[in-house]
Amino acid sequence: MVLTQMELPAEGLVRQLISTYLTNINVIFPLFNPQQLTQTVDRWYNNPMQRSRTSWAVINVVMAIAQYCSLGQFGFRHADSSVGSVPDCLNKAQSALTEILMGDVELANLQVVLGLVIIFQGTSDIRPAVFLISTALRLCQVLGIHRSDSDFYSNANPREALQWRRVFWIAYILDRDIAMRIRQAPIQQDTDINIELPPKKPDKDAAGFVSTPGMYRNNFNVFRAHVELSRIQGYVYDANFSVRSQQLSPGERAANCQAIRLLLKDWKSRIPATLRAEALSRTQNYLPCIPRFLCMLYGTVVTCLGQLCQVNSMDFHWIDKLRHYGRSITTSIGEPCLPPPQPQGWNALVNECREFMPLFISIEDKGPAFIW
Amino acid sequence: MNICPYASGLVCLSANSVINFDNRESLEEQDQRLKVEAVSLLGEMARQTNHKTLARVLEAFMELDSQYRFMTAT
Repeated sequence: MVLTQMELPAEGLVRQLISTYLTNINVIFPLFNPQQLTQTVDRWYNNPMQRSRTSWAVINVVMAIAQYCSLGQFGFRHADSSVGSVPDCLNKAQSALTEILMGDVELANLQVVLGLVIIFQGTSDIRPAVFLISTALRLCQVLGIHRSDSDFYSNANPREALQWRRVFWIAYILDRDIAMRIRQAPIQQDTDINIELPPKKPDKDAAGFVSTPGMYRNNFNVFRAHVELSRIQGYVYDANFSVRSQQLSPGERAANCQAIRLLLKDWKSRIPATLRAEALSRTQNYLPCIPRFLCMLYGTVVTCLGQLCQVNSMDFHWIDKLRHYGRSITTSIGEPCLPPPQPQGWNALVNECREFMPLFISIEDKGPAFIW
Repeated sequence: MNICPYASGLVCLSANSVINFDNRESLEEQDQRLKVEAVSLLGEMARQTNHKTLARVLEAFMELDSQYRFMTAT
């Protein structure tokens, strides 16, 4: 494709969307280094001779995420036709995909693929996200950014290494989310990772950190919490859906599920009180992206607990037995059948739902809600 | 945001009412309000999307709720 075909909207509109993305999304899900992303946009408009397919794809994918994740907010309720709609930006980014995948593996290429996964993951058709996350993780593995002993890290400066680690953890999170949704094993194995988790204390640009009232000196890294929750999501698959779990006795499986419930409880206990569901649903102290983001995490906790009990909006087996029991009572025909046994962990699930549901309803702008 | 955990919440609270219908202490007052809010939101989404899972969630809720009312009325 010749350069003239790589069109972008007017600079002011692009910069507005990039700023929206950096302020509201990248700040807690740091796919890009803000400085580098801004430089990419600067170069695009200031040095047309330095334009590349990759930088064009990066800008388009960021514009797509910014609009997609902020529908109804920040003045982009309906995608501005002069900016380019989400599908338009997506199509442009995708049109560069083959070239990106066949070229040298570099950070920006991986970021484009992951950006596409973020968008496709939020749609009713998960298949593009499934294929793209596989590609992204294979790229991560080829580069060795999951291993602290890889050549890449020994040659990278600290800033680059920090961003590569973040990009890897984002791939990891997306892999776990997608695996949970399709009930397949995650691609990336925990035993094959030895890079550091995102830090507990703020690093150079504090990406992922949220300052909460009463925690001025010890901000909380929600990005790290996200990675930790993703790890637990993988355990839920191992305990409930893996081939190995099917070979265990009911007692062993129940013990494994109980151990995961304790991990979830421990994970929740590390969240500062001001960022817990109950507190968030009663406050407006944060940028809208913070409660929305945490609501997504708490939704994942509900899903994990539901899958451990095998009771969620996709698992009707137990609910059907319960309905059958109810019918036998309400119709008063014949002997009432026995109620189905209350699943282990039921009360934890019910209490989690009680905390989660008011938070979900309190978030005015839910974005493009999707359905499994 | 994913609607599914929220839909699961409605199913769980409805099921919990039936399981514990004779143990009112374990049913919290807020449950009824949460269910009403959820039915309103999910009903609206089901109308907009015609999604089978949401329709099934609402169907399960309706049946469990009527069973709960029957159980607690007698």
